[in-house]
Amino acid sequence: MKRTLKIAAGALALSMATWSPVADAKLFMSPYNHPDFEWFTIETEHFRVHYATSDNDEHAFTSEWSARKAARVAEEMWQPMCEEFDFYLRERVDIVILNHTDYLEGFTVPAFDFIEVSSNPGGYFYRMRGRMEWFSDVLVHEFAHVVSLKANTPLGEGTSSLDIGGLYSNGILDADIGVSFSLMDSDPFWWTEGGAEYWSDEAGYNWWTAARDQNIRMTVLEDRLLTFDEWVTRIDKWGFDGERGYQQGYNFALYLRERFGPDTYAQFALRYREGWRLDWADVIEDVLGIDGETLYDDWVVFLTESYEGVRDRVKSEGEVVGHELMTARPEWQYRDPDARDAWYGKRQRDREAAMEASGVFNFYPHYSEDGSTIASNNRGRLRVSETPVEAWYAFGGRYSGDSEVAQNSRDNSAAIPMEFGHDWDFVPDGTSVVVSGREDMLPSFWESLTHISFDQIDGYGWKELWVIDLESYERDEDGREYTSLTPGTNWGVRDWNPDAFRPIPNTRRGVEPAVSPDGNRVAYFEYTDGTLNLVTIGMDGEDKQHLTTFADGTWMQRADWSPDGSQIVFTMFRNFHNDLWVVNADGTGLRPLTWDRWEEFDAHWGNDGRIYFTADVGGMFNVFSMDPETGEALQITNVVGGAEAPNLTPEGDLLYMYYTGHGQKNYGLSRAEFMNSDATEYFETSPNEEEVVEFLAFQEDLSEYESVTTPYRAAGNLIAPSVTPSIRYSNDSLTNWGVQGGASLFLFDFAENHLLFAEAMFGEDTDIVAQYLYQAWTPTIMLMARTITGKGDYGIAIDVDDDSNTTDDTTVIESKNIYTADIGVVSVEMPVMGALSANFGAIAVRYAFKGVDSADYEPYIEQFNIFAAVKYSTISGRHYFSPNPRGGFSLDFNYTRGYTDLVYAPYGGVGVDDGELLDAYSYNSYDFRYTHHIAVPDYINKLRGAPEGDPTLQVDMQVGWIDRNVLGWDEFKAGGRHPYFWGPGSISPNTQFAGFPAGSLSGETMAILNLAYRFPIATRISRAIGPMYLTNIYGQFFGTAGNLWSYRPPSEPGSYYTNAFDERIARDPDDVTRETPFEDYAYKNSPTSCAEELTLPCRVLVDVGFELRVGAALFNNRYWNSFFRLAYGLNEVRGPFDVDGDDIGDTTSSPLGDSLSNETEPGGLRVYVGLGTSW
Amino acid sequence: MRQISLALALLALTPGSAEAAAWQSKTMQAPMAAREVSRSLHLPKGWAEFSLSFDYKLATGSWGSDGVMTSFDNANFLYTTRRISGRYGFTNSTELFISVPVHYISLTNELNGTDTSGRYPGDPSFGFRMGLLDNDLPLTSVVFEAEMKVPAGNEDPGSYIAGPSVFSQFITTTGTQDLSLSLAAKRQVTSNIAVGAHVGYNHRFSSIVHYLIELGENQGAGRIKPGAQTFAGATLTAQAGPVALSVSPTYLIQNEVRVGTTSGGLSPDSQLEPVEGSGGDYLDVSVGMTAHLNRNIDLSVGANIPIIGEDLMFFPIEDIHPTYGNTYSGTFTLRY
Repeated sequence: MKRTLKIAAGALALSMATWSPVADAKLFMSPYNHPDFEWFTIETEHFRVHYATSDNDEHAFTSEWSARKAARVAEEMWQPMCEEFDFYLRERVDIVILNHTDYLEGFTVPAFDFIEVSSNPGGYFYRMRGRMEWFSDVLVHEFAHVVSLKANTPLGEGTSSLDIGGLYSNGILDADIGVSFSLMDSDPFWWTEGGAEYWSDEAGYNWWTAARDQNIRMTVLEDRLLTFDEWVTRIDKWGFDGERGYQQGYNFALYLRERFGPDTYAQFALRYREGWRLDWADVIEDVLGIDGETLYDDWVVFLTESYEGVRDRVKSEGEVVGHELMTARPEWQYRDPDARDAWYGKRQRDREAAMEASGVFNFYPHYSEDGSTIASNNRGRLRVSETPVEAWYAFGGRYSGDSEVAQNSRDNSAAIPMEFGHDWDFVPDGTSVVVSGREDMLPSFWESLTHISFDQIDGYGWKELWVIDLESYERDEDGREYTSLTPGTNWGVRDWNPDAFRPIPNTRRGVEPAVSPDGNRVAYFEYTDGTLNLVTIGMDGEDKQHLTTFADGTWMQRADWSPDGSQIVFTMFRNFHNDLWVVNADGTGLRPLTWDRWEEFDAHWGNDGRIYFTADVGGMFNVFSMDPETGEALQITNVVGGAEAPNLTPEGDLLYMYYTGHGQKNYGLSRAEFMNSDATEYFETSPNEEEVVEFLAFQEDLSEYESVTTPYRAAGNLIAPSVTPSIRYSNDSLTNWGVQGGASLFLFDFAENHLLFAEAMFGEDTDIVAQYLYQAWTPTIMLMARTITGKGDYGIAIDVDDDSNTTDDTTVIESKNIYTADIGVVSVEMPVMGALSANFGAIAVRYAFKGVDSADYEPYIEQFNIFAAVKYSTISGRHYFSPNPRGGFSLDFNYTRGYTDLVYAPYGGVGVDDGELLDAYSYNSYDFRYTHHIAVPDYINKLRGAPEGDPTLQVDMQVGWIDRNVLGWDEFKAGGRHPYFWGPGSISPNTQFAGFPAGSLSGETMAILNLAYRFPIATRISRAIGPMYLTNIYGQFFGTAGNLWSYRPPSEPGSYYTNAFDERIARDPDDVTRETPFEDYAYKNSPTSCAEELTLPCRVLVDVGFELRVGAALFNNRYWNSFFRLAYGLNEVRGPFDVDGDDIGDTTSSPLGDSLSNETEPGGLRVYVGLGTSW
Repeated sequence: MRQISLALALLALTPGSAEAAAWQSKTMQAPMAAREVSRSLHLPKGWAEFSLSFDYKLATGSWGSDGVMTSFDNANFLYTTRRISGRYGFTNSTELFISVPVHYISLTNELNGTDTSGRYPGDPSFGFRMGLLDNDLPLTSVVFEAEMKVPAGNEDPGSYIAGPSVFSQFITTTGTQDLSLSLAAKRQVTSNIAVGAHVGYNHRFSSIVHYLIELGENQGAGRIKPGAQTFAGATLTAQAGPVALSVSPTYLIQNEVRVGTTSGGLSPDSQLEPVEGSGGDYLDVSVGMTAHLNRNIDLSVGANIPIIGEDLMFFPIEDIHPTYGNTYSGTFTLRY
């Protein structure tokens, strides 16, 4: 029976899953802690608005005006929004204003009664939505979410979902089958986001703008509408498709309003709330009597007819659009039937990809004054090339193809970092540019090489103006010597001359620079507390002058100097007016150039003295020009899409940004083709002066909020608690299974200074954990306590006569482990440093169990570990849920200084491992993992002649070293694990040694290399199958080689003795020798035959396998990724306790002296299936 | 005094006009009747309910195998249970619930001078109630309930070596999982009276347990499959102002227990043998009173009185108890 106990303890140690942190740091704000923030709360009747100020030396800011404005807008909108659903909120809603960021944010978690918005909408918002009353727009949109989703949900808000999952493991069949899914709301993307836009419209805060119309118009005319399947989820959207979801949903609502009445969208919510259903879209038929897909088709027909009419009208008037800036003929401009057939022979998605290849977000094309260099802001990169004007088909009338000009254009091109969506400018001599950058925009060589930026620790990344010299770099590559605007690489890093990048001092939070004609000053907009003001400053950062001093949410866009440098034209959005304004360069004479109902923006003061700008006359954006002295206006373009951001080339031709269904493209229109039709009548240029004075003087009185502003208290400002109930199934043997039921609780305060996660799961195995994060200090402090009580069946095969040479007298007894573990963790997580993250801390573990004749838990083992972990990863977060993470690598290094004391009294407080008696001991453990997702050519589809995809070679290597012999508890473990073993949502490469039983391989030295080749089988599937939305399917071949090596007990007679458990113990501990990796076989992992003949399979274990990875979403709002994996272990392996999967631990004496490793599993096939468990 | 302080502290936690954000009453909550007689059998959507309950049973005797009660001469057998329960209205018609008990048990015998007592976890249970029919005015509520009981309780009596005389712990679990399926109905017949009925079946799975040792072939721990239970009952509820009185008899038939060792394959029970005489019938009557302090707080007291029973041949494990005695209970319920 003592042996029974011994085995029980061994199984116990192996049955315990490792602990892991269960929550990350900041979830909604930026991931940085900000101890410099001082928080305040404005309390109104229906809202609490929280905002921060900071007196940080370099980043002082206040959000007071933004918060007060938010409070005003929120209270005004409350009544009309609630009225739409007849759903008047009893609960207060908390709004958090973020003003330490220069980027657009706005989201809500209705169940938390929580809205978070940034004061600063960034640089692109007005182009998408066509208006700039940011606070009203974003707040009403987010509050519409709060009301609509609360009114919609048939679920109690305290629970966002019911998580159900299970893992069935059959060790005989070597099959692991896991399932995980969440019962939750399935409100579709189009209704959720389009509805928020529509209800904002119904509440009087929104309207169908020209920007929205051009989005849908070009989407329809260029056959890019999201299909009925595609528009249900925001998952798997790219390019313009995300914004399409918003606008299609909004437009569909307008269509239904006309056909069925204004409350149709709200009725969907009220019907859905009556009872949860598998497919939300069923409510459409319930409410309207017509199924959703039929209505969608009707709507598409309606749209198509409408927009084809618009297109025909423009064509009949004479379309003036010019051409996309290209030097080679694109495929879609075919000129013969074969080329046409080749083009339409492509899959639609390949045609779309080809048309998007020139960029989706190309803003603000400019030519240098000498006409040699063109550049535009291409998705946050200034794309520069030395391409003469006449090289473009749009101006030269021919495609230059691969001529010398094109080669020179390619050589002398550069992609310079800048901020997305903002304007920029050449310095007049053309040798430099001034861009809207970010304060830590240009990393040093080492920062570029390592992606580690210590500048990020402060959590600020404000925008700033930079001067960048367009330097020529000598290149000697591909057998050619040439000069280029782009430097060569050094260790893969572009070797930019750091002296060529110079921030302009005193321009923090500055955007959209325009350089004066003499090159001495820059006009730009400076951000403060929800407001932009026009500023000029010397190129050296001296002599800063504020030309406007608004403090009321006024927003501005694109400034430009008059040719003589005496005046500046810019766009101002203020008090729901959106006009062009002119001011003298010294700040005097501020006056409106236009004063009308159109949206005018993107002003450019041409060298011909006219101001070129965009306006939505007639509901469509075209470029106009205006004489600022007389007000005489001409229409320059007449387009079907949208013509924006005009600039003149030195010759006076027009460069502009054309809105297509495939992106915003750089277009050119030669001056000779200008439409030049009189447009003077459209624009009001002589406003009443008194009206203007009153307009400028108006300042909304928000002082009433001063008296209801108090210092923020975390205790009174917690989110509505969110509980997720869970049910999980698992089996610890073929004859014993269990169901756990419980819930997790999530709680934090709105400033996210304190976060609590707790989970209690009850069942045969009870697991209770609480985790607290303190995030009001620069590093995050984490405390965790966890207690686990588990029960598990096992069988034990006992050698009755204790003779290892006989096997027919083995008897099997069955029993049950009942164990408990208490775990405490404290850790410190260092601030974000780009690709580098680090934490350190300590873990204490106390482990005890009951034998079948134990009344109480017997303490078994006690541990205290100090750990440090460093992770370096260049793998982007968006790959987290992708079935094909591609590009980037990660390095994980973990160090543990461990102390383990086996305290089990029946053993005398000592244990035996590898022939050594072990009492309390300390050890050092180092392990390192390298994972790289390398983009490689698609050989398989190439051989098949099919379109090539995006295959990836995944390298996953793990090495580890423990500096002394330790108990099996502390050894490294390997073997195939189903991801659900770690619980729902676990994602990491799980193919290492998938061909061998889980946990069957162990040792103090570890070296494992896993290679996988991943290739697409079907991508961009975009099909809804019931509640599932299928995105893509990848296949993956993989294989693993390596082993884990241990210490080995002596085998020479007389050098050891055996204890009461038949364990071999060295008389001299020095006779316990460490196995040499790759030279020795691993005695604990390989069959005993390896002791006699040391073949290669004894040294290195190998498995191979294949996996299907299916990317999907479930209930429209959550990833639901599945896999089917086959793995074949080529070696027979030995391992601790139950390796052959029969749930019976073989304890018969081993001739090698380790009865815990006396089972073998022959090489063979193992099957893993995970439905919704990820990989 | 301590109890009063506790009650005041709990009252302080109830929602009020100055509630913290985390505990706001939400608009999405479905209507909740103020009186027990009008309440549905499942919790309305969005309501959360937490309750603390205390059960007290001082057994005064035991059932004989012939169904005759025999009084203890010198023994006092005390069972108490503290229970934390949670219910949540997950959807309009579906409630999730969970209950986690902790037991304190004491057996003293003045004649023998023995005193064995201890505190143990019990078996948690969780599940859902789904409304099949919900009508107001008058209330008609029919629910289907599925409940899983899981064996987290203590299953170690102490050392079995040398026989049961060395037991030092109380068993508080069957060591097995139970899945109970039932139907319940409630109908308000007048403004102050409601009647109800319930019927159900409790399937009890088998498991290896520590308290059962296979001695014949030295096969280690034995496997047990407690007898399945079929039960039916009725409830009469009468409301007087903020107080509801109820009486509820329940009749239960329990099949025989089967024990043995595990067989392989998908049916580990196939070689279990029934224990003759381990099945039987029970009839209990529960009476209770619930007082609504307000819509958010209930206080309940009750008693369970055994009427018919018999020794089912297994020593006291939570719900297979042969002892005789009334169980008195009190429950504090907080709802928001």
